[in-house]
Amino acid sequence: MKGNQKVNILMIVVSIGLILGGAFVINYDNRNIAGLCIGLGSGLASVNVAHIFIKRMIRKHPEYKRQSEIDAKDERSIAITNKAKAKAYDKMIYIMIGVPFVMIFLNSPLWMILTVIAFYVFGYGLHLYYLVKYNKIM
Amino acid sequence: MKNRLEEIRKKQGIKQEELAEVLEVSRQTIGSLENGRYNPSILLAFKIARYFNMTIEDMFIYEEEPNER
Repeated sequence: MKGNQKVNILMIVVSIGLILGGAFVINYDNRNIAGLCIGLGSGLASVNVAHIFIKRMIRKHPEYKRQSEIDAKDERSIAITNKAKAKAYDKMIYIMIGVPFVMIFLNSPLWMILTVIAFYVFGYGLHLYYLVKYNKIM
Repeated sequence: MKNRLEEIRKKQGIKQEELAEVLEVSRQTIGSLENGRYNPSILLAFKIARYFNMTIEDMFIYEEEPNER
């Protein structure tokens, strides 16, 4: 867990500002910006509060740091994570194939359907890019 | 692939946790290796064999599968 605790505290202050700002903007009927501010603020606050807690726990129990370093480098854990990601990607591809058809059935606007297809093509393009890349270096 | 890790580890009176600590892997990885559920990378296989002053062939038993020709 790298990073300075002061940065975490600063980010919590910023996130409180965003949440309060969002709550303030709601009064002016600008719900999109308000939602964005509250969403960003909440996310930022939770991540930084979690970081502070983790850093404090590691300071109290240094053995957790060593264990978390080992877990991060553990080849079986890495293999399991990579396999899970690969499986999830395979399933996601099937879903991405089905979504445009569902959207056509629901009479969604053409630009929305094309956007979903563009995401699918982009994802598949990345897949091919990494296939070629790893074929060259492995 | 079978291995003699559990047998040799127990013979030398080493705990799974201790071995995991030395090899810089999790205790679960040692357990999975001993159960034969996980085959180690060549690097980890070398580390294990060297830790016990053995060769990889003495530690890991390669068995050709029937359809593997």
